[in-house]
Amino acid sequence: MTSITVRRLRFSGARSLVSMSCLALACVAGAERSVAQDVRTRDPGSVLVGGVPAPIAAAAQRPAPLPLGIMARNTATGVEIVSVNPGSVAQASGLQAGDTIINVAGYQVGMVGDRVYDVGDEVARHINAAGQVPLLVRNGRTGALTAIPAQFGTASRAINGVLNAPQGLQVPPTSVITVRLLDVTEPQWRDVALTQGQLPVARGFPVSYRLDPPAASPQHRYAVDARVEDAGHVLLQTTSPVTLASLDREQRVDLTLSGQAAPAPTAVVPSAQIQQWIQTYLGRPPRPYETEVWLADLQQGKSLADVQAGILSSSEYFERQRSNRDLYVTDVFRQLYGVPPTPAQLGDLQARYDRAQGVRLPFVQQLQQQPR
Amino acid sequence: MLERFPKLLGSRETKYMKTVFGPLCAAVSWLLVVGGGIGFAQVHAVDPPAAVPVANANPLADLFTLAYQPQDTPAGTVRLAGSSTLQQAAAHWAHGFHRLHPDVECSIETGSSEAGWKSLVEGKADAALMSRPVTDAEKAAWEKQSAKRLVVVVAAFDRLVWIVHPSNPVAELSWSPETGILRPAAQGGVVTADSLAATHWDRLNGNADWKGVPIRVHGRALGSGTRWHMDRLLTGATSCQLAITEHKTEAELAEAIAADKGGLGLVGDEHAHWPGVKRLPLVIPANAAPLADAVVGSDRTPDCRPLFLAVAVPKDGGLPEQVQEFMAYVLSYSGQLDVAKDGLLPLTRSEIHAQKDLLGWSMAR
Repeated sequence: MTSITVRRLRFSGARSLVSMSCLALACVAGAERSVAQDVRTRDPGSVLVGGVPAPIAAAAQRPAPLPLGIMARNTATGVEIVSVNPGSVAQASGLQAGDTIINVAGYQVGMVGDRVYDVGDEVARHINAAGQVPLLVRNGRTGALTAIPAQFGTASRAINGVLNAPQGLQVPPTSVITVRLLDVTEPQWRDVALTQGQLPVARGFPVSYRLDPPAASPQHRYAVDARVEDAGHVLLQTTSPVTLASLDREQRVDLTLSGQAAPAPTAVVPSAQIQQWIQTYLGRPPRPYETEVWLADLQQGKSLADVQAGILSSSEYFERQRSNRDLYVTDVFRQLYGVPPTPAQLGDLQARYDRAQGVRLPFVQQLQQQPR
Repeated sequence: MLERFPKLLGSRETKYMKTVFGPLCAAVSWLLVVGGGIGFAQVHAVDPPAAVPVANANPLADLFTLAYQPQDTPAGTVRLAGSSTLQQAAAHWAHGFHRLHPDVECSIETGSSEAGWKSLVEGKADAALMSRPVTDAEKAAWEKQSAKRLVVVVAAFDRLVWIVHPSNPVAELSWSPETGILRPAAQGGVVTADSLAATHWDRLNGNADWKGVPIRVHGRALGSGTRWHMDRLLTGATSCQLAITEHKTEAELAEAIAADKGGLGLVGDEHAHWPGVKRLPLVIPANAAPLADAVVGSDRTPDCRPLFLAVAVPKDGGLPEQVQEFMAYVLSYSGQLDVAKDGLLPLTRSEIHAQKDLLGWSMAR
């Protein structure tokens, strides 16, 4: 078997091909240096504090994809445009349905070998300080290759503001600020975050932040909220999300955080609790990023009880009980109530488990809610 | 470059040029990167060198901007049926999705991939949970019988790990796509124990003291997804008839390995810490494709088992609204967070985009 690694090479010969098509390439030529600079200087994440992105944000975030205003699909030859939104950057750049975007600033997009390179990601990555990014486009009607400088409005859609906390309040230096852009169209969507950014608390409050919204639906309603957490414990938060009139322009939204600088001495520290459950129920310490995953679940609006149910119903815990119903329900009961079930209780547990058709998560959740 | 303009070259030419110039370009690029690119500004690799995987990196961090954005407020049911490997992920999906869409009830029926497939074929499930790819025979039968389009997307990966007795001196297992680990003499056809080059441990661990110790393979039952992958990793063949001791659970399997000096078994990564066994890395040639060729948009190594969701899409329209929203949830940050909660590997951005393409979803960009 011959295996070929398909690497995305930026090959300047591509320019020769385009030149052969007698097309102007001024926008592409010489762009490399500025692209490299832009990658370094552009906001790498969604939140900036004091204008300087902290390492955690840089590591955890990528630029929010900028909306070209197209509906598209990935193909082996590029990104085929299905439709172009009226008034969009794509329309202003002359893109039409049927055209195919082959590369963005020389970087292939669409299916390349076995990978998909998203056009939105590449645009966000390579746009320069003037809001311009060169696209190589195959015209859907003539087949001609054209270099098109897509010009994004210099008018930013960013949400900027200041996070304020009670004066003199000092939170632990290990605390993390999270700012979220939420879809609040329906009440039950209150934790649906379109984007979010996290940063450590650096030098106390006030701090400035910035969120770059992704593509959004004009029919939906959006809001911003923020919280400060330490080890999963929410110390400060906005009392309610601040609703935004729209996401189509830059706006300033200051947020006021309230709460306590430290959890009460008796409060359960979520990360410690999660680690203890993993050790107790699974008989091992947490794996890399395992605690983070559960803390992220809390940020999605789940409760610590949900986390406990998740661990107690995990495949790994079930395997530890030899994938045996009776051993499993007995041990779950013992873990939740500290004593083994009586024969009558065991019978009830077996019946509940069977009613749940062996799906463990709802079984454990139901058991948690039941008074002992 | 060669991939970028495939239509400008015939397929054979493209293949030839990829074969010859692909590695050449890569080599030149590498030299330029190493040498600082002095004097050769014409050709250079723009992508940074492949990042060395950070063992402790959270793969979900790259998915923040692929948040689930509900499009509507659907009502109805979403019926899931299939492999128990995906049961817990499905339960998390159902729980998370129901919180956002309280008018949608999700039901889960788990047993085997076969059972899930049967439910999908019979219209009793909206999505089949599959821990192995849909076979060619199943696809052919579907094409004959169904008026709907079959779409099979990857929803998660499960890293599989080989385990042996702790006294076994073998440090790693070499694998090739053609001959697997046990190296059958002839390729193609059904692989039997007689055709294997490696039947005793000295052939794998190089220790003459182990010459008399046969390799005894322990696995899950025939028909399970883990077994499907084990057969292929062992021999590289799609059909194999080896004497394999079957176990009902991975815990049983690990215990059997702990008690068998010549044992060799395959378990999910989350179970490889079982006491009394030694886990072995699989040495995989660079660029080896995933075992399941149904995986598009993925450059995973073959020790990652893809786990699938199969759905039936009406040819004259899309999925029912609630199923469409459910699939969007699965292929989002939230859905992939759910996957990670059960120790499975979430998809990458590239993999998520590719699965959306399979579903025929135009992306808003």
